[in-house]
Amino acid sequence: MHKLTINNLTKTYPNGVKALDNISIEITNGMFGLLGPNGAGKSSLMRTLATLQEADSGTATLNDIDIFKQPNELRKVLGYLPQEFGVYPRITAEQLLDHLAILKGVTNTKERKELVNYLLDKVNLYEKRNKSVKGFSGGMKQRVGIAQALIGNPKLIIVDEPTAGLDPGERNRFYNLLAEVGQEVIVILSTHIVDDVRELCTKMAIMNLGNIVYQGTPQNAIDDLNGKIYQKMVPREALQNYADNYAVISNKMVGGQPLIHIYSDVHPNEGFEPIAPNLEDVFFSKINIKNVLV
Amino acid sequence: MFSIFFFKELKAALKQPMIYIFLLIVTLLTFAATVSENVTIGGSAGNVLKNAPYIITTFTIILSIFGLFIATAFFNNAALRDYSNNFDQILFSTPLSKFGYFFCRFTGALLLSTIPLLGVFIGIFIGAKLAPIFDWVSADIGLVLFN
Repeated sequence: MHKLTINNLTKTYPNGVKALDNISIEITNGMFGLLGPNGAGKSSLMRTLATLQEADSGTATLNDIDIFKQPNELRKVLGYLPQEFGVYPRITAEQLLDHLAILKGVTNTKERKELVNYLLDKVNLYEKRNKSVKGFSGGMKQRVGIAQALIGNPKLIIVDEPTAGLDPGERNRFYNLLAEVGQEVIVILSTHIVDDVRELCTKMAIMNLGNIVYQGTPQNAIDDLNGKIYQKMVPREALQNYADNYAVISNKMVGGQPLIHIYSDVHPNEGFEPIAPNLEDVFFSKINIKNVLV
Repeated sequence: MFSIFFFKELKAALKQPMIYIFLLIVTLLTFAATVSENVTIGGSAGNVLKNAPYIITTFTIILSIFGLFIATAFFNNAALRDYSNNFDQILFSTPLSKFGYFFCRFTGALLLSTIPLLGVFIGIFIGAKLAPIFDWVSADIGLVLFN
């Protein structure tokens, strides 16, 4: 059982943006979903945990490794897939994985070749191993990315918005792969796609403006809202009116007309109908605390 | 780890045309200066043999200055390759040692940037062999081989 503990992590960028504001989380084995809108500080947190940047204050430890004091120890057991990455021109999938395997300390040639072949097979790229990674499609490149993150039996795998730009089929394949390895180790998945977390993660946290606004299981979060979410189709002109009178957590277009979801402890009547909350309602109710129209 | 990466570094660069183009340019320059009176590098040779050690030294010194530009190209590539290819995040989250990374890139670029300067000697050597055969330089202004 591995355990990642983050205590009072704070980071302010030189331009004054407070990316992480006193964050404390405890994460154990399994898939952990980090949900948040763009700019919430997810990537900052991920990059900090991947030892790519330092925090201003606070501590983070994986088992008994202090991430800030022993970054090299952590890197030995870390698999990191950045939000965006490129590769050297003309390098093939096999060469790339081989290169990174050396970096991660697999120096035995035979062992390394076996490992690389195993990983290529696992991400279904064995036939394409001699093709240049630059020419790969988004999904194939992402699979190379996850293959490199799996080198060297990592205990902590961090994937930062891995499914941006993948088609639904590729997305499913990617998640199946991740779920398979995520049984034994800690996998932190950051995303702004609510469905991803619901499908995959046993635990989650919602981040907004550098703060953790919710932490727990997706099911608990949904249960908390049970019977408190109501929806109604409203005319577009009346939208502002509803926003003034109710706690509107989200509004979206359905067939050209706004459909609003509101949060209310009692039944508001007025044509509102109760609905079963989903994770999207949780997401919006946590990040849209001022109930402004978005 | 150092030696593996050092040789990879060299192999990768030797697969690219850049180094051969620089080598060819330097070779052609010194070849021309050796076989022709109209091309001079570092002042005319005067009464000195055209492949005298003194001339070879002058060529080497003058072309080393241009060699700095060549070195810039190789060191630029060595220092910025990971960033310009957007590979830095993956690379720096691996347990790579500062020493190994830095010196493997540095020595690789150092060695590579000296290779084009070998063209000085290749050019003079070929020029000195061919000039008498084709009679490019008249004997009385002295293309006499320094043996």
